[in-house]
Amino acid sequence: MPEELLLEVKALRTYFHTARGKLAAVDGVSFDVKRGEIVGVVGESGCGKSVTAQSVLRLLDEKHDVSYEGEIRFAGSNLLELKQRQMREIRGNEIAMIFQDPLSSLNPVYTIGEQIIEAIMLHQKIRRKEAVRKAIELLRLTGIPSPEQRVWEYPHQLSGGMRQRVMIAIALACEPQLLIADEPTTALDVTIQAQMMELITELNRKLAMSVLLITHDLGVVAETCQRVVVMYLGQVVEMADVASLFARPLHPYTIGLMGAIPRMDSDRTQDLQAIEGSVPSLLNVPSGCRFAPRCAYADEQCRQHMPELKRDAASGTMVRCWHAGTLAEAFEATEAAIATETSEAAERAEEKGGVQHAIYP
Amino acid sequence: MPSIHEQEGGPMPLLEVKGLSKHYSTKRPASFRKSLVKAVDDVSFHIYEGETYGLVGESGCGKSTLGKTLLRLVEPTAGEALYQGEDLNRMPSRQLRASRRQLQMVFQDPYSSLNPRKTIGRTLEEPLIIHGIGSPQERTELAMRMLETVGLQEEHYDRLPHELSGGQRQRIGLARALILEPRLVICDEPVSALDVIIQSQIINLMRKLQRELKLTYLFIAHDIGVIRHISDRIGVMYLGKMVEEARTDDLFAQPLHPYTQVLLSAVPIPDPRVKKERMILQGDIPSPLETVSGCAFHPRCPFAVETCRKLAPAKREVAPGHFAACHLA
Repeated sequence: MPEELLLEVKALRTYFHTARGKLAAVDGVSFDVKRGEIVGVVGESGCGKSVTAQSVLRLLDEKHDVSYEGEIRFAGSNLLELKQRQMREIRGNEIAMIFQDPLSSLNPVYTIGEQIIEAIMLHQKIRRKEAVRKAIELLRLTGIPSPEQRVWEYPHQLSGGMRQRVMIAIALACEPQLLIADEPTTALDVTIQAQMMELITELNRKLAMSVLLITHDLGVVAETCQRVVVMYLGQVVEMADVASLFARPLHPYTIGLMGAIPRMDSDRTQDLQAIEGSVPSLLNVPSGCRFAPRCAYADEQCRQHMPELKRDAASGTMVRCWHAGTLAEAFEATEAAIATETSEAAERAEEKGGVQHAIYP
Repeated sequence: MPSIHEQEGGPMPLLEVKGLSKHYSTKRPASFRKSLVKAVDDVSFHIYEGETYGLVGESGCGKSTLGKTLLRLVEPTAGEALYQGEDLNRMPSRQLRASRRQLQMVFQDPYSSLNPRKTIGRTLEEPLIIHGIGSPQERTELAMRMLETVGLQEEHYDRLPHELSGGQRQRIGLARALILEPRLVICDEPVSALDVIIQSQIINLMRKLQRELKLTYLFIAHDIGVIRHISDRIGVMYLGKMVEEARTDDLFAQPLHPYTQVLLSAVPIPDPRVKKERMILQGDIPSPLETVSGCAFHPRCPFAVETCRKLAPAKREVAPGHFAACHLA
């Protein structure tokens, strides 16, 4: 059943009740995660990606701050209609989550073993001895050396990468069907990040566990995800499988995100393509297309009317832009031009005998 | 071995660092023995006028301490830092203050590096007051002009930091460093707290300012893509030591030190068509409290041989202008 839907988010709206009114941090977001799939959610800070993830587990304070609209269907039931007690059975058991900062997510006064055992015994009726054995097994699975000793150590005795492994071990304790990883590698160094992403993809393959990966790093997305959701100011602006998204991004925001990253093969003499301005506040959401004020291609139509999320006939990508088709062609043309330019420049440099540096004598 | 520049009788470097070290003595946890943390250990390099020298490494490698030591925000334990031939480390404080006008710093966190109770105008004028430059009126004019230079408007003059976004604050951080018309700017992770799009705006701005104001940058960062984009030459640090140094294109075309190779291969590529062979390192960066015999990288190095365990490798010129501290390079 490779196509079976595990998580289906339909027209989700998450409102924050603030002194200045009701603000929709997530505004009509729909996407799904299939069994065994890794789906990435990308965007800048304030785009609503983390709030979307927290809404799935209903982690936000519903008594005072937050209200939801829409549907979150997980394995048949709508999570937004469940009672808190039923929700507790799903959290950690069927859907687990790991967070950005492993030090503040772990309790400093309990050993890591205690914290894993707690997660196991909360959801499974097994003896403590059995739970200890399982905790050690989980630490081994996540690649912690000499887990028999480490299990009785405190969080401060471990390095950042080790702590994130412990977080993953706790998340895996009940063999969840879905793992939500909210910026799991942002606080880690690049070599440790590589270890972590390797571990998450390996667990995804071995345990057929679906992953919803929240990140701002398009490099991580390209290497681990099968499908991608791009968010801007609370809305999905583009949604596609990884290959089409990177080969033919349609939304100007996605194109801008890609141009902003200094790539390992880019021409260093050129400036990065930077989108102007910054993400507006939820207090003044622009009328029409939300990206229009920062978009180089925006016209009157964009400023007046909000585009719908529509399927692009050529690639099957879902995109929210009035000019999606024409922009993609322009993007492909520049990419091709850059490619030929770079190879020509390399040839020229070779003829001259190496790259010349102006500032060196 | 003399470097390529000296052989050719090239220009004098703007900054020349020789054997710079910063050691901290600490008590080991749960023990009475004192131990020495070598945060920066015998680092030598030089920076030429007009270039950008990138310093890259993972957290704890000593790159930020090195940057601070150069300005004596942290007092070095040993070594020399020659600015235009004069040793900053031996300068009396009055002279050091004069030199600092030409050596400025931009910090990582635009939230904590600006005084929340001072208006942007006051923040920008303070360095001018300290160095006794201009009349109050001239200082205000200079601050206004600087705001425009970094892409802000005059209306920002009376604002407080909390009214600005992260990107705008980092522009203020740049403006504050540049208002004294420095020659060398030490940038300590100036874009790592920013979102990618804001990051690209600041990088473009920094390159534009470098061209217009003829600045020299020491650019400290952990992001390899950013370092590659902005630097002319790069030094790679691991556990307080400089393990490799080369021109940017040479370093990326042929990384010589195994650590550099691992570091470069760990960077995720935003292109799903590229499936690359990744070198995954075992273990974490060891605690700097533990002294490692021989090469500091040998416990994690996939190529380590007997010599590496016994003898610390010296930095040597493997190819013209390309230095590495590795027995096997």
